Amino acid sequence: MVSAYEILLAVTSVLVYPGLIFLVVIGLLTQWFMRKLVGRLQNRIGPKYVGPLGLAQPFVDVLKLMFVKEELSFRGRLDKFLAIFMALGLGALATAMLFTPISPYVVKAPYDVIAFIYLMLWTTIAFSLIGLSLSNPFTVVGSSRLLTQILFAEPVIVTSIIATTLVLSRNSETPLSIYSSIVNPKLDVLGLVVIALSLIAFLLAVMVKTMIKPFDIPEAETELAGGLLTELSGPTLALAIMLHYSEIAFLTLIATLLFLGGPYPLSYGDYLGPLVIAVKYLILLFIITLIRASAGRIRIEQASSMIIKYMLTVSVVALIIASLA
Amino acid sequence: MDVLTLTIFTTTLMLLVGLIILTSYLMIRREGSSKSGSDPYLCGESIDDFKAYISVGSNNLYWGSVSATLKKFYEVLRDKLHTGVLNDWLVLMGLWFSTAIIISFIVVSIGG
Repeated sequence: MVSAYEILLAVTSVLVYPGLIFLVVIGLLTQWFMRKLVGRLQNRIGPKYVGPLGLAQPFVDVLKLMFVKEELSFRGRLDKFLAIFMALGLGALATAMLFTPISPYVVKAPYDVIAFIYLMLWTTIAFSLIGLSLSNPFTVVGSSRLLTQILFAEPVIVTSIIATTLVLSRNSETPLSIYSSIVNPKLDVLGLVVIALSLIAFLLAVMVKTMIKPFDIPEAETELAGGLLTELSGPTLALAIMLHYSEIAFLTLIATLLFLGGPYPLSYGDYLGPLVIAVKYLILLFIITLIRASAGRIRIEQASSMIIKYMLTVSVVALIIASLA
Repeated sequence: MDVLTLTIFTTTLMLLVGLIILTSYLMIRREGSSKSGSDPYLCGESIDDFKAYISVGSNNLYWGSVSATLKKFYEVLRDKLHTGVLNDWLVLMGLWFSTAIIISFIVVSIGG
């Protein structure tokens, strides 16, 4: 029987920390970090005007879209449908944070990796349906490109997460559980190989899933006028931006906790633990941003072949080693 | 907690958060000056030039790029295996079932 206190704790966790508000704030800070770093790497200044070093710029941008900018409507557009799926996508990300030990209220069960993956898929569904609920040819083409990318990249993400949890939660009371894989990892040499291979495949697949250069093919501004996001404006665009950057923040945070051991060599109770997690998080983000700043956009079939050759193969090899180890 | 209860519980939480976001979205949303019914945004191009493309055919949605990626695979399937000759079909099915039997035999013998 669940007590009222537990329900209150679960709702607070999912709405505030580490759920919705935390994820949106971290997502927008991530946006600042990426914009600033790409700016500096390309000899530009990056965000500058609002807050120290332009730190508050993404927040002000979103607030302006929400409260100042008007929402434009176009023919054949399913407004509510769009918003429902984006809201569910954000809700799914906030809920998936409860699987991690940084949450005050943790959900865990044997084989809960299945539920975790199911929640992760919601953002993908949300972004795919954005294009299909607008009647603009640019958005439809953008959406079709995203579906093609995801058709190949989603199996990579799923395989690398399953391979890692398989190795880390071996001999645990709760097998294939995200929580026990993060908190009580069982590691040997083969396990390290599996995690290294999975991390490489996962990080690259995250770039594909979240449409970061060179995989920004669905929103290709010079070709498709913004692709998926062409007709979005005002609060709907703010929602899309929050969903996009929350997804990047969520996936990078999961990579930090699951593949890089979270606060290791410290433990979760240690007061310096969050600092170690933040440093590892920023290192991963730096690698992603470095690739983003130095690569140009590739074509969709080049991206698909690249995913099959270098990501899917690596993650499947990791899964085979994990199941034999 | 078992995995089914967990899935139902997390889905309920997801719906709750989604509902809160949707309510706040509907509260702050204001209709703009461009009334609903205006033409799609086409970078200033005339809609007449684009009329044929307003609805993109389902064939072009992702099949084009998928078939471009897996072109060699399709060529092998179409030219070597799917020739329409009955003997080829028997060979294909024989190969497929024997592969499946070998894989299941390996899996069972390793997994015990």
